[in-house]
Amino acid sequence: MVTTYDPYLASHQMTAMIGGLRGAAEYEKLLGMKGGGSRGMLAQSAAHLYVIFLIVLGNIFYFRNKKKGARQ
Amino acid sequence: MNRQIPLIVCFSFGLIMFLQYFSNHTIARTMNLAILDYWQIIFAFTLVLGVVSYIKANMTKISRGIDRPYLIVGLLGMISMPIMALIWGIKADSPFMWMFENVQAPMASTVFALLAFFVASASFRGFRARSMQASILLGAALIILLSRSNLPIPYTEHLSEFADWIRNYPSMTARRAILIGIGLGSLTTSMRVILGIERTWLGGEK
Amino acid sequence: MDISTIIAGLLTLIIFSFLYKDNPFYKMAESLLIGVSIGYVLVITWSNTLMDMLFEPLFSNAELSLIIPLFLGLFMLGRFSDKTVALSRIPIAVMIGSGAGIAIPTMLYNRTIKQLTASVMPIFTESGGLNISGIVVIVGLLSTLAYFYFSREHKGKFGAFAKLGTYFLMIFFGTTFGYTVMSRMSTFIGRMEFLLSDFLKITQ
Repeated sequence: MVTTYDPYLASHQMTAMIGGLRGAAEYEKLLGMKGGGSRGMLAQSAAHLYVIFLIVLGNIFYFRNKKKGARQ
Repeated sequence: MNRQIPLIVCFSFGLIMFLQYFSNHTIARTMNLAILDYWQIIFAFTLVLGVVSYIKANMTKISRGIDRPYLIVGLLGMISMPIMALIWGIKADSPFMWMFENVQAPMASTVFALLAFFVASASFRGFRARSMQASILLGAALIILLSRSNLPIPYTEHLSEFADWIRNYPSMTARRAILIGIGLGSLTTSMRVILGIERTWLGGEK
Repeated sequence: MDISTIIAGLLTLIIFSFLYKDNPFYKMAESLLIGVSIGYVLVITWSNTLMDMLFEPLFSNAELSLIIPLFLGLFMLGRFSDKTVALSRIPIAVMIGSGAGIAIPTMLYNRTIKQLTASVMPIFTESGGLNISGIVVIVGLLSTLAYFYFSREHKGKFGAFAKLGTYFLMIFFGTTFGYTVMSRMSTFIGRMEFLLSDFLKITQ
């Protein structure tokens, strides 16, 4: 995982790091080519939105149940 | 005596490797490289040990009739690779590499991809803002996820910058503290091992 | 479509079938994956390590010093019998001892000193304003270290400071979770792309 290596980047023990599909897409853009990274970004964004939606939905249920529990 | 000799060996090799770090002498450099090679060679033998144990354990299970077909498939898969390598070699277009590219690699990455579904269900079930700590965790995750999508929302650039700041400063500094802890922990454990205070690696009395 | 793609596609689908429920096909594929993976590592280790680093230089070039790792390796196999198990402790001692010897200076330098040095950042900017990022790094580092310091009870001011460390840890876990989601989804997208374009030829 990229976050695990962030301290090495900050201390300049590592020069650079490309993280995940977005990193691949950014690198492709830098090289001026279209490849798997850029192609997958739409799906990746949709997947992220889906996970965000699930987290929000889970929390809505959690707080609704908590309120109900407090009322009873 | 059974325990004394390994302890002496451990101490000697530990001391040699520690001292060679401070020397640029050719003998020290050569010894360093040689011992690193020894490491890999001994590791290769431990792998052989592991494979033989795997075969033995599977054979026992097969003879008892537990999950017989699956274990046979596993064993056949394992044995087929060295046989193919022996007959046709391991060049790029060999059957050995074909097995790797069309059987091992797709299955391994699909098993990894399966985790996407578990991550999604964990997000729904477990990711609740129960306390201050949980809310911070949730907030950080949401900001990173939002910023790492190409969404046509306002202030995307600012969000991306903020997410980068979170990663580069508060998140990085916590990870750095963990790293320093690991560094100091490894240091003391290594010293205990070399000095023979830590002896758990010797195993039980036999 | 060639046979390779058909086999890779079918195996991919069989692994995905686990999402419905555990089934004999999945179990079969799982066993095959374990077996083939072990076989692969075994062959690669044999060819890259045992042949290239040990047997060839020892027997073809007569590098006699390699007898030492050969015997150490053979001692390792002593674990198979109770009578020879003591022999296997020697190669383990070599690995553990030399590993510990290497770890002391490298861990101290790369993980501790280098990281501590990088944490010392200017607190004030050129114009005299506060450098928020620098303060965050120093406070975050010290408070997180305080949280991992167990020689003193986490009470009072020290306890509050250690609690601040947990907030920084939570930010780290949160960002790591974000990136975990990203990497798992990337792999899933990669597999789906293979299934839809190479295997089923639905998309291009």
